[in-house]
Formats: sequence, structure tokens, C-alpha cells
Amino acid sequence: MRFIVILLFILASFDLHAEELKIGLIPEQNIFTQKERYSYLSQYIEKEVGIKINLVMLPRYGNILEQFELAHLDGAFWGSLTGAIAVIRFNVETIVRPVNLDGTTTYRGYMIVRKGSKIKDARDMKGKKLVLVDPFTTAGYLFPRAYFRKSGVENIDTYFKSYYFAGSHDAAIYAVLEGKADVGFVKSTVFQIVSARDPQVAQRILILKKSPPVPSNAFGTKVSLDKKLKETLRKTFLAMHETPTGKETLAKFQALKFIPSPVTDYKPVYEMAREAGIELKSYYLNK
Amino acid sequence: MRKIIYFWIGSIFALFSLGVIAAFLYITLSTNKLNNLINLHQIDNLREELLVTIQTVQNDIFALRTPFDPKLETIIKNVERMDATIRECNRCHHRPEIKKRIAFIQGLEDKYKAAISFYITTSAKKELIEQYKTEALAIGTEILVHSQRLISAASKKIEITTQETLHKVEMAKKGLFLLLTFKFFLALFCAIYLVKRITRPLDTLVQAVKKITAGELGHVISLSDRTEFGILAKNFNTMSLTLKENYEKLVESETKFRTLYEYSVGWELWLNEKKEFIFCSPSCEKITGYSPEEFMGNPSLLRSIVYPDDRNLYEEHIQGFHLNDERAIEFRIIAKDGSIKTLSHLCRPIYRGNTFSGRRSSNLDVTEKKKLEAQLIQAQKMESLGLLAGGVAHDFNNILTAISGYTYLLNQTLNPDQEKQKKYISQIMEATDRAKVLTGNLLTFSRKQATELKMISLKAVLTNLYSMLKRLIRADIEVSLQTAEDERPILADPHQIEQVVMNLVTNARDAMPYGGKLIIATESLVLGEEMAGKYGAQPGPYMVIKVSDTGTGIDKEILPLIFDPFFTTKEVGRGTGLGLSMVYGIAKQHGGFVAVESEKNKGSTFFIYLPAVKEGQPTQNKDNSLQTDVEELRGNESILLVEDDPAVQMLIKDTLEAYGYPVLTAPNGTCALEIYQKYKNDIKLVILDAVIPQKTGIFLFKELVEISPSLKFLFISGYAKDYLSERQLYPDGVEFLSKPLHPHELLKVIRRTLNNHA
Repeated sequence: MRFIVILLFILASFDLHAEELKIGLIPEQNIFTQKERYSYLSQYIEKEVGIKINLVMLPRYGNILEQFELAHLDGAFWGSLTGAIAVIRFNVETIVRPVNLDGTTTYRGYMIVRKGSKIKDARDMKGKKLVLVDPFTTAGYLFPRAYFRKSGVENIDTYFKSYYFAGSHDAAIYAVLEGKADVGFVKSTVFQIVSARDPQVAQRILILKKSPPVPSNAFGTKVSLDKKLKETLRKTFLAMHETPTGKETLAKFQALKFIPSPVTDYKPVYEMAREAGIELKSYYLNK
Repeated sequence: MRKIIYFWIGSIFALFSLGVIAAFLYITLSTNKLNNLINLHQIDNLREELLVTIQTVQNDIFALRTPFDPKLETIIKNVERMDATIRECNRCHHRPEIKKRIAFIQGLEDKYKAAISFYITTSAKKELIEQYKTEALAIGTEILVHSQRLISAASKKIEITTQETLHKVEMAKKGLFLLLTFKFFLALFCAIYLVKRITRPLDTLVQAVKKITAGELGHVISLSDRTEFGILAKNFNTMSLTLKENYEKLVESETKFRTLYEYSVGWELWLNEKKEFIFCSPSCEKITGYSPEEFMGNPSLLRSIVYPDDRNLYEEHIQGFHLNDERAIEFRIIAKDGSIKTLSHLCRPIYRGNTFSGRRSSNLDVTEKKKLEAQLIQAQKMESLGLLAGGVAHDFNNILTAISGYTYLLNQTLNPDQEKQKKYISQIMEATDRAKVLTGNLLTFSRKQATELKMISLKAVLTNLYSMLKRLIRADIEVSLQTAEDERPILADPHQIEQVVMNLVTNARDAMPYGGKLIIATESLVLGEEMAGKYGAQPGPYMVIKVSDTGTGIDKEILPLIFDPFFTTKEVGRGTGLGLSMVYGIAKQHGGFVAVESEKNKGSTFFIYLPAVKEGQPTQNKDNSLQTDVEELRGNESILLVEDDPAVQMLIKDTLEAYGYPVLTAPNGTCALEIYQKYKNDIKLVILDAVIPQKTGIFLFKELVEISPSLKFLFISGYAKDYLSERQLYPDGVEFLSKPLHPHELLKVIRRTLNNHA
């Protein structure tokens, strides 16, 4: 009898036949925009796979790791840093990631200032106001930590007049644009999206530095997710660009297609973390 | 008509459809307006919802980072709802200024969402967070303000639109009402017109049919219509006129038939196979006295009126009712007035196809015919008797001529002193005279007696006779004479008239042995064809001599026999039985007839009908009175005597030779011709007996005239001249003497003849 109960619990944990998948979303841009963008994907997947997708918008990048740890999520569209951490910590299996409209499958971090701000590098940033995105973003935290460490800036708390985490890349862009900050570090893809939407961003913002490419936001699921379902999801994503509705969805999502995303693609992130002096294994626990 | 009906029904349908369409359009427009209004109110609700949603989001923002921190999902949902509401507002509104305002709000909304997102996701200092919060709230407030302004304007607009819409709906209602009312009356007019278009000619036709039903055949209608009604009217008129024509023909035919059977003398009687009367013509009433209704109502009536003696015959006839043959019988019936009538009944079977369906009989009243037949038989009998009597009288006259002649001659030879011989001869001559009277009566009966007709007055003759009659009548018989005031003259032999009256008075006297009344009267009347035909006489004016007595009367059984010659009811020796025969003969000879009415023990009345003189009728025979001396009777011309009776021949020869005439005799016509051929130069006169053997006198006369046109003739005969003339045995204008011949008269006529034609 006891054995049967234990077996049932084990089986239940494997989600053999899940009715709903909770997929977390990081606030890389305006949470409403973000939710809307990924809702096209979720609707497509719901229709193709026949499973309900519940997109869970998280207010902070770190929340996604919290929620995953608490088993409140089945999967997520991971940022490159959160994804790298999730792979290490939760053995998250990244399945696919999108190909950007320009054909790239990576993104970079941008160091931005207002045009005419006379800031050219870290030396010019002293006593300035810095805007970051989130401690769990690559472009919005890892990249600047690595840059500043390389540039000899050990303590940004004291080097800058002030700094804060905007929470999303577009918030950081507008913080710089509106003068709330003098320099900011944002994600290239978001910067392109916001520039396309708001011409004054491109007109008034200057990109001083770009980080090495890191993989775009991949879709990864928990280990315990049903393999068949996982395979179905993988195939569906990978074949999306082959169907008319898939293409339409990709257009709304602002991607060309999805490609496989092995964990090995996170190597640049690990490199950048090392340059930034961050131990990713314990990084999450300390934040 | 079909086209018209289709047209008008189509028009009504079109009007109805237009009305429906109009109503539909009105309703659609109204409801569109209303729908718009509803939409506007729904949009208004939407706007209210927008305000509430924005307010909710504002509240969420207020509550963020507080103990009442709403879940991010809740905020996202509320913002999404707000976004959806704004989009819905934008979708609903089409006016540029509204759309512009909504677009502005949408722009604010994007900023609002960005500000909220910044506020939610940032991990900055409290001041920055508060700044983000303030920015978000400010934007939210601005959205609220703009939304409220929009709502306010929209509300006003809604109110105005609502008023306008309600007004339009009201107008639409009125317009629809007027339109539908108009279309209703128009459709009603169309319907009424169509109904009238159809019913008016129908009414006309119906009225016309009623008139025809009421008997006004030939009634035509005036209906100028190019539809089927016009054709119907035309055909109706044709039918009406044809009906009238056929009806008139039918009436004419029925009138002919009715006239035929109403006025037919015969009585048509039709019985069905059950011997029930199915038709009885009105003439049955004339014949039987019973009406057709009486016969139809009582089928046994006919059988009941059959004369008892004929009933067996009738029953035997009825037995063959179902036989397929034509059957005829005569039977007598007792008419309603008690008279007995004889019916000639002829019946035939009636078949419908091969089925016997009764008999049809024609019944003629032959009572009068029977009477006439009896009269004819009687007349023929009388004629036969007359011929016999005449023949006997004629022959007897010849004998008497010889006796009388030679007695005369013998008397001429006696001396005056031979008184005894003269007395004997006188007796002989008296007896001969009586015999002459007898033969004369017989000849009179046979109408062969010569008559001397002249226009006479009955009143004069009877008045003259009356005095003599009174001497004949016994004193116990009251005699009276009543003559008509409006007397007409008649053409008659007065002597014979006297004779008639004398005979009738004699019979009347004998019928009243114990006395009574005797009335002699005359009457002037005009006989119609029916009465005249009944007695075989000619219609016209007549004088009637009535001799009535109150004597014993005559039995009905012997009434038909009273005019038979030698018929008498008197004892032997008290009558010759020729009296009434003579009366009958004289009346007939004068072109009249005798009728009698008699009732046993009541008396009898004899009616002698004599034709009155008509205008232009010759009234008198030639008066050939002869007054000649004996010496002037002598002559010497040769005479040829053609007479077959030897005694008469000898008498005449002897008489003529005694007066100097040479006489050649021939017993027959052939011999006479031969003799004349031989002695024609000598013979100056031929005395011919009208009736001689081998060749009648008239033929001999014609042959002799042809030989010698100037030859003179004298016809002699025992028959009356008229009798011979009627039979063309005597040529008119030639001298004639009736037998028995008187020698003196013979000589006078011979001398006159020879003298006249000298």
C-alpha cells in the first residue's frame, strides 16, 4: 500500500499528461508588451499541441528563478543569464530559441548614453547616474559588471552618483533618454524594438559599447516534463516557420523561426560571468 | 379577364410588398437608429467601463508595493481590459474627432502601460520608484480626464442622438402609418375595383339570367367588354335569343299540338302499361260529357259508361291490351247527358325501344255518321223502292195508257144512245183514273212524277187548302193554321204541296180517334250546314210546313219505317201505305226533306222543309197550256213512232192514223234508224220513248239529228221529264209528254210541234 502511494506521487511528479503548462516570462521589456508578444506564441502552441499555455508574467528577472524553484512554472522563456543559471541550478533543458528578424540567434548588450553627453567610456561615467536593468540580466547587469571590472571600476555603488535597476530594458532606455540616468546598459533586441517604435530613441541615444553575443531568450522546460510533450513542443516550435499560421505568429512575435538551443550555447554567458567575477552557481542564492 | 385579374392582384400584391418593404425600411431605419442608439448606449457603457477600468488600474498602482499589493497578473488583466475597452471604443466610434481623441487616449495608454511597467519592474530608489508611480498615476489621471471628457461629449451626443432618434422613430411611425394607411386604401381601392370589375358584369349576367328565368326570353344585355365577360355576354345574348326562338317554336308547336288535340274531333286517350290513363284530350268532354280530369281521376269511368249491350265486346277488346297489334272496334257509350253515342275506337301499342309502354287510342264519335249511314241506307232503300215503284208504275202506266186510250177511242165510237156502254166505259175510265192516281203516287214517291214548279206562297196555298181541310177533319179535332209572318216564296208544284198537306192531315186525323188538336203552321228559317247535312240537304233559307197532332204518336221502333212505301199500321183496306212515302218523295223532289218528332200517346209533328227561293233562281217552268180544236189536230205529215210497248205503240198509231197522220213504227232504236234512213225524206216527226231497247231515245235522237238537223221530235215517257233530264236521257228544249198519254193531248202536242218548227 505504501509503495503504491509513493509510486503515485512519483508518477504525478512526472506530469505524464499535463493539462496546462505554466510558462514564465521575464520583463525584458514593458510587461504588457512582453505578455502580448508571447501570447501569440502561446496561442499557436495551444492550438498545435492541444495543451493550454498559461503565460506567467514576472515582475523581475529573478522571480523566474524563484518561481521555478517553487515549481510554480513548467517552463519559461529564459533570458540568457537566467537561462544559464536555470541550466546549472535546475537542470533546465533549453529546447528552442528564436531567430531574430535580422537572422541572428543572439543578442548583445548595449552601453548607451544620450547623444551629446560627453560620456565615452567608464572614465567619463564617474559621478554619473547609472541605470541597469536587473541583476539577473546579461545585457542589463552581467555585461556592465564585466565592463566595469575590466575598466577598473570595482564598486559601482561609489563610482556612480547613483544607480538603480529599471527592471526592464525599455525602462532603462527611457531612463537614459529622459535623463533619469546618464548611462544605461540594455539589450540590443529591446533597443531595436524601442527604437523602431520611438524614433527619438535612435535620434538621441548613442551606443558606446556592445557586449559579445549571447543566445537569445530560449524556451526551456523543467526536467520532469513529459518527454513526449517536450518532444512535441520542440517539433512544433521548430516547424512553426513551415506553416502559414506559424509564419504569421512568428511575424507578430518578431522572429524568423525557432532553432534548437542546446545548453552549450550559454558558454558566452558563463565567460561573461567569469569576467564579471560572478559565480553563477551561488549567484542566485546570494541575490 | 385573366390578365386583368393578374394585373390587379399583382398590383395589390405589389402594393402590399411595397408596403412591407416600406415598413421594413422604416423599421430598419428606425431600428438602425435605435441600434445605433443602443450601440451608443453600449458604448456609453463601455466608456463607463473604461473609466472604471482605469480607476481600477489606478487603484492597483496605488496598492502596489503596499500591504494591498495586487498580483501582477491582476494588474496585467486590468490593464488588458482597459486596453481592450479603449480598442472597443475606437472600433465603435467612427467620427474623426472622436477617433482622434481615442487615439490620443491610446497614446496615453501606451505611456501609461510603460509607466506602470517601469513602476512595477524597477528596483530603484524610493524616490525614483515614487517618481515612476507618480508618472504612472498622472498618466492614468490624464487618461481618466480625457476619457471623462470623451464620455461627457459622447453622453451629450448620445442624448442628442437619442432625441433625434426618438424623433425620427416617431416620424417614422407616423410616416409608416400614413404610408400603410395610404397603401391600405389603395389596395382596398384596387380590390374593390377588381371586385367590381368582376362582379359588375357578373351581376349584369345574373340579373339577365333572372329575367330569363322569370320568362323574359330574348332579353339581351349590353356589355361592351373586351375580356371574357364580353365574350360571355355575347354568347349569353345569342343563347337568350336562341332560347326565345326555340321557345316560340316550342310554343307554336305546343299551340299547334294543343289546337290539334283540343279541337280534334277525335278523343285521344293514352294508357301506360299498367292501363293507367296518362293522357286524355279535351275532346272527350265534347263526346262523352265527362272532362279529362274525370277520366284521369277514375280509370274505370270509361268501362262504366260502355253501353251494356256492347260491354262484352269492349271487355273482349281490353283482353288484347298487351298485344302488339292495331285493333279497332265500335262500341256505344252512354254520355253524361244520357245520350247514346257510338265510338269508333282505334288503338295501337306504344313501345319505348323494345319495351311495351302502353296503348294509344283514337276515339271518334261516329254517332252522326251512323245516323247518316242509316239515313243513307234508308235513302238507298227508299231509292231502291222508288226505282222499283217507279219501274212498276212506268210499266203500269203503259198498260193504263193502252186501257185509257182505247177506252177513249171506244167511247168516241159509241152513239149517244148507247148509254149502258157509255156507263161501262165511264166506269172503266174512272177505274183507270184511280189506277193513274195510284201510279202517279208511286211515281211521285219515286220522284219520277212530273212536277210543275212555280214560285208560290205557302201561306196562299195553305190558306186556300185550309177551308177544304176543315171539311175533311172531324168536329172533335181542333184545327188551326199559323203561317209565318216572314214568309219566303218557294219554288214548288202547288198541287203536290197540297197533296203533302192532305196526306199529313189525313194521318193526323187518323191518329186522333178521340179528338185532339191539329195545328198546321209554317216557319221561315235558315238551315246551317250541320242540320242540312244531317238530312242530306243544302244549307240555306227554308220554309217549313209543320203539321202537329196530339194523337197516339208513333213508336220509336217503327219511326224509321214510316216513309217506306206500302208500310202502314192501319187496317187492311184503310190505307195504301204510300201516303208518307209520297210526302217523302215530294219533299225530296222539291229539294227538301221530311223530319218527324213523335212521342207515344203525346202526338207527332211532321216538318216539311222546302227550300226558299234565292235571288236569281228561275221560278217557273214554261207554261205550255194547249187550247186546240179537234179539227186543228188533224195532219198528214209522216211520223215515225219509236215505242217498245206494243199496246202503247198500237194506241198511238191508231190515234194518229185516225187523224190522218201516216205512221211508221219501230220497236227499238236500231230498227228506227233503219226505217228513217229509208224514209227520211218523208218523215217529218219522230215520236221517241225515252227508254227503249238497244239504243236509248237520246242516242237515237242524236243520230237522227245528225242525219237531219231539222227533223222534229217528241219525247214520251212514263218517267218525269226532270228525272230523264237529270240522267241525260232527254234533251232539253224538245217537246215532251208524260205517260199515260191522253190522245187529245198527244194530238195537240204533235200539231204544235209540227206547226212550231215549220
